[in-house]
Amino acid sequence: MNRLVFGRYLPLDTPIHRLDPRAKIIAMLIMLVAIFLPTGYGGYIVLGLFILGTLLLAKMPFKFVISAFKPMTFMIIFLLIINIFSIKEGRLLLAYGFLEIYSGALLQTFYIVVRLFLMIMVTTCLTATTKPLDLTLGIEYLLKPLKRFKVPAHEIAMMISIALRFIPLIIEETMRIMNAQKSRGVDYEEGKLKDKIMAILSLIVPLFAVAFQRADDLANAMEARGYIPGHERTRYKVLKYHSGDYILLTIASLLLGSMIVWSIVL
Amino acid sequence: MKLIEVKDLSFSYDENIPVLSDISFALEEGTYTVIVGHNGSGKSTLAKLLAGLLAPNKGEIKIGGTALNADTIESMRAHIGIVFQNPDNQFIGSTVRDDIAFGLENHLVPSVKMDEIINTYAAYVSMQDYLDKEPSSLSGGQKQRVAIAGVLAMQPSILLLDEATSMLDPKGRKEVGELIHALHQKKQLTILSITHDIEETRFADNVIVLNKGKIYRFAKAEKLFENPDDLKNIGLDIPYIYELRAKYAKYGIHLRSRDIEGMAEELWQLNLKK
Repeated sequence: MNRLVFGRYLPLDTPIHRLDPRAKIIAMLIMLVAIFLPTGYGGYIVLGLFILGTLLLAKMPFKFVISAFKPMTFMIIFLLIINIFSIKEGRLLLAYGFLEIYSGALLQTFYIVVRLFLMIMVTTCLTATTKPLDLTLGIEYLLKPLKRFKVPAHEIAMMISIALRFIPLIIEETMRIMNAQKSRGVDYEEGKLKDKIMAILSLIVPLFAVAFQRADDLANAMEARGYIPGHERTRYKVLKYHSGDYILLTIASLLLGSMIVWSIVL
Repeated sequence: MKLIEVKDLSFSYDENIPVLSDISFALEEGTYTVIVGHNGSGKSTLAKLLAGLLAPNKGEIKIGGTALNADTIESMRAHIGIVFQNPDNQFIGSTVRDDIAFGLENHLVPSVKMDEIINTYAAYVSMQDYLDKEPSSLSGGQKQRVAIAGVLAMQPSILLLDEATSMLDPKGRKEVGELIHALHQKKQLTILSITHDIEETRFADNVIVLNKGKIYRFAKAEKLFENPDDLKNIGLDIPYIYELRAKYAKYGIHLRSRDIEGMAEELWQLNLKK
């Protein structure tokens, strides 16, 4: 399980890792908005350089960043095909029977791809440098003001962190049940659609049974240790903003501001 | 003083099938009690009742003189620590540190005091070098030790163990068994351990034998195993060491040791005297 996967946390100790999760979440949201402003390639270069700088500071291995793009290949090809058929602007580059490719289609696809690349890099900056639990803690802090509107911020954060904690266990369990069923002659790979659906059922039913058992055990353990949903709790980890966080937020805001101006002037 | 008092306790999930009926016993502070019985004898249900996770149909449980009920349970939680069977399903935090902190957070311990408490109790269970490890990188025995630390951090008056060693490999079982023994010996903690590992009874002060939802025997370990057939009648084994003692007793040799090494010692000294 040691592959480099998009969204995985990379345990390193860099200035970016040490930033407050709240600052990182807000900065990510600001950057996402900035990326979607229509500034043309000039803006993308500025944003790209900033993001690249952050990735370098966080000591992200090049391979890790690239691996995040692999699942996107199919989507990019799909986008390109759609654009070729729908956008008929710019110069005609190629005409072959009914197929006509215009420069506008390529340019448009290129912009979208660049935006996607930037978005993935920004989110990688966040997820790869922040522990899942810190991330949920950050979300909880940020959702706190919504408590007034009866948004159960703490419960949401608790649910996310427990889900994150149990994902590897559930995957392991799935593998175990699959092997157990295979040894009893269930075929997951071949056969007609109907047989395949039946095979999947033989996996899902025990998986759910086990998951409910786990949930029951966990609820008991939490209750026995004094957890009461909605009740006041103290927190072991207390978040505090440091100078680095202010710097990050200032840079991100300045970038967003200049992108807004840029897109209006253009 | 009697720390735990259970009186006429009855419970059933389904009206027609009683799980526990008329259970009564009392345990002194600082004692180590083992509850044994077959699967379906009602052991785990009894643990859940004692931890206040289930409410009895009839009867009463008193902890330190306070009856457990809907009004008192919230304030009593910290007094009753329970460790369950499955090491994975009770690990709530994402690291050892966070997991021990979970109970403290619920009991409103101020954040600034938590680190000290966490370090103390992690050291109790010899997990101080693993504080930042994730559960997936720990063995079953280590996870159970963390669970025990998490419970002890709340400073309970009773430690309940619901088959806490049954899912562990022999090494983990030995580690956790020794830890529990040490907690009883050194910290005078009141321990109530539910198990089907009959060997665990060797270190216990009292043994409660449950059979079909009723108390079959409640006695000192020494007394209970004097007559091996008594337990064998309901299909339970007795610890090897007591089996051996019973066999020697038939020849008029009365041994007193609770472990194999001690018994070997006694036996060769016996030879010398002849």
